[in-house]
Amino acid sequence: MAPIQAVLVSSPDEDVVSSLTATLRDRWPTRTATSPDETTRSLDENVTVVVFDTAFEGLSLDDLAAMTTEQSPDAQVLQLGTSMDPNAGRADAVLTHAAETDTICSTVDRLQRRARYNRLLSRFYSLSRARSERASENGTDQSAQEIADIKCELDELAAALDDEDLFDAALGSADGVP
Amino acid sequence: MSFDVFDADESLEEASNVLCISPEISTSKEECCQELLTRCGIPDRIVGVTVASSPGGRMAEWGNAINPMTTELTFIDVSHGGRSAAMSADGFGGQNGALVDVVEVPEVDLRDIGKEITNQLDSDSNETVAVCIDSLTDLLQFESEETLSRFLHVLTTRVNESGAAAHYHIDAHGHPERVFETLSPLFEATVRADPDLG
Repeated sequence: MAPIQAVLVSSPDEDVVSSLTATLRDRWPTRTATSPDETTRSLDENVTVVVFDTAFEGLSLDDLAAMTTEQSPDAQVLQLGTSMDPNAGRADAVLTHAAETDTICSTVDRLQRRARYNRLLSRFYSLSRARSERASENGTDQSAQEIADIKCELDELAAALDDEDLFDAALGSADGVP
Repeated sequence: MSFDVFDADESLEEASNVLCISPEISTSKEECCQELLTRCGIPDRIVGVTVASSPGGRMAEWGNAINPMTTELTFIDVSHGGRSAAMSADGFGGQNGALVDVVEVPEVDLRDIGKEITNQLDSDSNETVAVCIDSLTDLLQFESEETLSRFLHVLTTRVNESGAAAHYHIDAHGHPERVFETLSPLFEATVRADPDLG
């Protein structure tokens, strides 16, 4: 079964939320939030991309980063609009409110690939390590096929990402934002 | 020399990425390195990554793997607190007449190291490129096994896409067997050059 990779659209402007949701929901499960409380309630491990409107008052990028670290550790953040705070945490991608539909979809798609790559790298290592610890045991080890299958998907994802995205997804972004 | 090939999905000539398990300082490591560098013939260019080792030391060990008239050498030389600049330069001075370019990476930062390596792989030319990483053992002094595994997936993917032939040294006596087993699925082949194995 395909993993859930939901998008959370978080903006105080209901028109922005409606427009973005109409654009994204055909491709990904899409949740919406128009307040900080709704945003925090909507985050969980199934959310892999957060589209965050910097027009929010009372919820900064740094606040969002703290929330996602706790509740949606694999989530990539797409910042919508320019941040007025030069000290705000860096998002994984930035678009203006005037971005075209195709640009928004392709950016979310890229961030979903980064999130999937990150998750699969963790799974790949976890399985490889567990298998190595069972290496001395007798019996059939079915994890070898799963490891090979994950490697194939990782290779395909990597081929579709540029170096910057790959290193960000594998090692964390340059300024330490996951 | 001969060495044992394990977990090989492909022949060594076809394998883009090979894990080389051998004692850190040994003739078997040198001989295995030479064989892996030249597994597709003497390369037009060699990209060497040195951490605890030095570019001069690596060149001295490569011997016949280098054609001084045609082989272009680039080193990604990773500096850190445990090795001085003098050690990096040791053995240089137009050795064998080879052309040598050295890119210094000032600390063990996998992102910086990875970018410098992939920069060397971006060429669209038809030249044959061999990559020697010396060593994963050194990198594991600074990074966790999981972080190294994630880094290696990025690197092995880019090596494969570029058509280069890379090998990655790891000390046969520096890690429990489990570490080799954990990392080996990242590579198309694993070789062991350890005389102690008989």
